Amino acid sequence: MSKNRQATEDLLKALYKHRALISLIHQNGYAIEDGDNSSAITELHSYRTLWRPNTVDSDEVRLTQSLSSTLGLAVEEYVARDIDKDMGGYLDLIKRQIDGYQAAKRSAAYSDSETYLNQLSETVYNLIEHLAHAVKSTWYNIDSQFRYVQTIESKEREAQYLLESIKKLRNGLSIFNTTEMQRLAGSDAKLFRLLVSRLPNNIAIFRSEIVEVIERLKDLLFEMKEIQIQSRALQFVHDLFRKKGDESEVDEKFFPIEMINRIENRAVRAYPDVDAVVDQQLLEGIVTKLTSQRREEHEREVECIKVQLSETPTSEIVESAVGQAVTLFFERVAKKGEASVSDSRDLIPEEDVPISAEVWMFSVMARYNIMQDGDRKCFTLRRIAEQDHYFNGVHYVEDIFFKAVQE
Amino acid sequence: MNHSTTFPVVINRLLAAEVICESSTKGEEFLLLKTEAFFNEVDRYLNKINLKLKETPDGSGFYAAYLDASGHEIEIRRYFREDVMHSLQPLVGVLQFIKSAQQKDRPLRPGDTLNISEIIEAVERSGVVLQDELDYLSRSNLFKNTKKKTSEQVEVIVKRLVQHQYLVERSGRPIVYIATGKWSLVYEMIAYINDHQNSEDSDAELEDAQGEFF
Repeated sequence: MSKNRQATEDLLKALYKHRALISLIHQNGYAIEDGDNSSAITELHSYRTLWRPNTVDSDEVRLTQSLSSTLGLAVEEYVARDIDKDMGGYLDLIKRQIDGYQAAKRSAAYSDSETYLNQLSETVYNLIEHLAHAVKSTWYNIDSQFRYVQTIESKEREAQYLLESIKKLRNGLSIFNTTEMQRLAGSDAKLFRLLVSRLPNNIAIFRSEIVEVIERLKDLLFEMKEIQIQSRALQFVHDLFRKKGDESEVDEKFFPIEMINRIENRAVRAYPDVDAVVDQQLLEGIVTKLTSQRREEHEREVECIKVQLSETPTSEIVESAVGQAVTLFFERVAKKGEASVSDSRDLIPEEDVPISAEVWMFSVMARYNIMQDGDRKCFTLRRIAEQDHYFNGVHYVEDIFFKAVQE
Repeated sequence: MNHSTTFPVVINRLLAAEVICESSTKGEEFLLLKTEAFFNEVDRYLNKINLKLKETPDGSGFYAAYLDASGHEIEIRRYFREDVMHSLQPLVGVLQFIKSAQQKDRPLRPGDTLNISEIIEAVERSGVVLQDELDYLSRSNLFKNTKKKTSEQVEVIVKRLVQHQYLVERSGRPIVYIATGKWSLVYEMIAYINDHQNSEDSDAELEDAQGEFF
C-alpha cells in the first residue's frame, strides 16, 4: 500500500472514530475543549481537520473551512454567506413562461403548453427552494457569524450586514404578492393553483420566518447592548474607585438595603449602539411592515377563496388553513347550535402564521356573505357591539354569535 | 438527581448565601430551579423565614434575597457586606484587569471561560501596564499577597475568586475556569453606583449652572 493511500485511510479512520464530535462541531460551529474530548481534538487537530481561533478563546476549536464545506456539500445544506437574494430574475422568468404557456394554449399547441407549464412548475419550485435557502442563510449568519465575532465594532458590522440582507429578502418577497400573482394567473385554474395558492402560502411561511429571524437578531442586539452598558458602567466605577485612591469600603449608605434586594430588569431597548436609535427604528420598521404585509396577504387570501367559491367547482378549491378553520367553525355551529367567533380561534391551526382577531372575524363573515341563499338561511347571527364615545359613537363589533336555524 | 435529595441541598446552599448557577453545580440544581414547580416549592419554603428565591437579572443564577430588613440585618451584613460590598473595589478591579488582559470589548460574565495561562501571558506581554494593575490588586484586601512573580499573583487571585465562588474550575482543565452567576450581583451593584453617581454628577452640574445663572 502506498504511503499516500495509507495516510488517507488513517485520516478516514480518525474521522469515523470521532464522527460524533465532528458532527457536533459542524452543527454548532465550534466546540470547547474539555477533559472528555481533549484526546479526540488533539488527534483531529494533528490531521489538520480542526483549528483554534486563538484570538477568541484558546479552548475553542472549529472545523477547517475545507472539511466544513465538504460536509455541507455532501449533505446539501451548504449555505453561502453571500447569497443572491435578487428575486427579480425569477419574476421575469415566470412571466416569460406564462406568456409561452398562454400563446401555446391559444394556438392549441397542447404539448407545448404542457412543456411550458412543467417549466413554470419547476421555476416556482426552484424559487421556493431559493427562498428557503436565503432564509436559512440568514439564520446561519445570525447564529454563526454574528455570534462568533467578539468586538462591538465587528458585531455592529455584522448587524448592519444582516439588516441589509433581511431588507433585501423582504423586498424580494414583496414582489410575489397575491395581487400580482392573481393578475398573472388570470382565469386559468392551473396557473391559479400554482401562483395564487402554492407560492403565496410558502411566501407567507417565509415572511413569518423572517419575523422570527428579526426577533432573534433583536435579542442578540439587546444582549450586546446590555454588555455595552455593563462595560461602560464597569469602566466608570473602576475609575471612580481609582480616583478615591486608597481602598475604601462601600457601606450601607452607599448601598441601601432596599437596593440590595432590588433586582429588576431595567428597560433597555435593542439597538447596537447605546447612543443611536437608528437601528432600533429600522428593526421595528421592518417588523411592522412585515406584520402588516402578512395581514394584507391574509385578507387577500380570504378574497381569493371568495372568488374561487363563486367561480370554480368545490373540488377545485384549494383552501388555506384559515379557510379550513372557517369551514370547521360553521360545522361547529351546526353541531352545537350556537358558537362565538372569537371563542372559536382555537380552530386555526397553530403552525399557521398567527392571524389577528379582526382578520379571523372578517374571514368568517366573508364566508357567511358569499354563501348560497339556502345555506345562509341555515344560520342567524348576533353581533356583540359597543358604542365608542371617542369615535363619534361608532359601534365596535367585539364578537359575533352564529346560531343554527332548526328546520 | 431526584427532588427529595436535591431540595435540602439547594436550601442549604441558598442559606449559605451561594448563588446557584449552571457552572457552579454542573447544572442539575440550576436546571431544577428553572422548573416552575421546583422554584415555587423552594420559594414557599424560604418565604416562611422571610426570604425570597430570586433569579439574577440575566437569568444566570438563583439566590436567596431578604423580603425586608427587619430582624435579618445580621445575615444581610454577613452576606453582602463581607462578601460583596466589602470586596467590591477589588472585584471591579479584577473585572477590568481581566477585560484588558483578554483584549475583549466585553467584561467577564457568568458562563464565560477564563484561561489563566492566557492571562499570565497577556500580562508578561503587556509590560508594565497590566503588571501595575496586578500589583494594585495584590495589595487589595480580597487578593492580598506578597508574591513577586506574575504567575503566582494571578494564581492567588484566581484561587480567591474560586474560594468566594466567583469562579469554578472546569473538570479536567486545571488552568481553565468558568465564571459563575455570582458576578450578576456584582454587576447589579456596579450598575447602581453608575446610575447613582451619574445622577449625583448631573444634579451637581445643574446646581452649578443655576448658581451661575442667578
